[in-house]
Amino acid sequence: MKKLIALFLVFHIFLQFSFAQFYIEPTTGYKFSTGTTEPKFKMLNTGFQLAWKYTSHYELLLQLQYSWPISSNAVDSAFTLNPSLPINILVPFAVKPSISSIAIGHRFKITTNKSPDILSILLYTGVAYQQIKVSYQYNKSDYILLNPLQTQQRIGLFLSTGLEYMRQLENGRVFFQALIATPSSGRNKPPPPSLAFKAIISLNAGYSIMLKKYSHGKKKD
Amino acid sequence: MGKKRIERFCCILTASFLLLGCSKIVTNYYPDKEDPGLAIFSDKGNNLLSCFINGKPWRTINRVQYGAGSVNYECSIYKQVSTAIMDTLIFSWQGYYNDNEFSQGTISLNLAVPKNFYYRSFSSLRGRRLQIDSTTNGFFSTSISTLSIGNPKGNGNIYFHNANFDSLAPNQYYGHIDGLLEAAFPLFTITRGRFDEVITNDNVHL
Repeated sequence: MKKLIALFLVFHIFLQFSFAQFYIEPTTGYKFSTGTTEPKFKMLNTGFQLAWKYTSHYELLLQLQYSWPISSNAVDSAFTLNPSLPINILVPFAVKPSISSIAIGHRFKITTNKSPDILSILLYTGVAYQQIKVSYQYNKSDYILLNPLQTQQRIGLFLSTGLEYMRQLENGRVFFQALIATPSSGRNKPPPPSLAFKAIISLNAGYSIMLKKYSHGKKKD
Repeated sequence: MGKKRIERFCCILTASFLLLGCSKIVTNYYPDKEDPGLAIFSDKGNNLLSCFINGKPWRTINRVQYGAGSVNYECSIYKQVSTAIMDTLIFSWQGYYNDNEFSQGTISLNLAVPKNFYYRSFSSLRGRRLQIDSTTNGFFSTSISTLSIGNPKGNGNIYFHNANFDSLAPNQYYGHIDGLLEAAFPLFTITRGRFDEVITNDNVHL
């Protein structure tokens, strides 16, 4: 009985995917972490998502994304016991944040499908790997850094939501998104959690290319 | 009657074990990737000192807070009153080489301070880098196994990044010291030392 139910479910999902409209959507944009801590985390967002149009008001999304680091600079303090050197110096350091993620998403359209302008609510849940690389340049033999930051990694679940404006074109769809995401739920490695993502805002633009359009087993032109 | 006494005794014993058993380590050790074997130099109240002794990493024992309210401190500070012009403030850190936790010893600094040095005087050390000359203004010493033979005195430097100690309530003081230290003895050296300590009435005696 269990095998039959499983077979039915697989067959149902297969039918849904086979007969739904299917899109591939490359996206790009700008991502930054909110909060007042210095330095700011800034990234260049690239990725693509697959969209299955179930109904005129709902699409299921599978998103793969990588956010490339945009280096930010800040300063820390280092101190020395060498009487011939100044007690402290300012040490510049660079921070390079990056995020890789895979997520399942939902596109709920809140305007009618007849209009070429579509406004949607997006909701993603997925797994993200976040890394914050830190590199210092200073005289390490004489000076010791106070509260040094370390390169950190974190992997865990995240949630993201936002609004999307989409314009239906003759051969595809163009869209603009504004999303806000939680940081990854995992723990920082290594501690201490001196640098951490806060809420992450993404501003993306993308293009939706239809790959398949089936209806009851017959391909539509 | 005797049975009741035994029961009461057992209850008290169990409660004592439970209270003593509830211990919490209040030392935070975050490794420094620039100096493998040492903790980072911090000012967050991580309650430890770490340094190299002749290149071997050495660190203080964990500060442990027991359920009964008692604390096992790795750092103690006390004032030695003398008939000389200055008194001596003695900082003492108890610890071990990273590779041998069971062989414990201490690193100490005897620092000459004015006779009127009191709790609030700690703030006078803040931001100061002192050259310890082992003759007039103090000296470093150790009680680490073979290194302490002959009670050698060391000279060196200490920098207090933070030093404060103030009253929270009558006869209740709380503060913080953190900084760097290094010392040279006739047969060995202490290098890259860094400390970050929360201090209270319990481990400061003036």
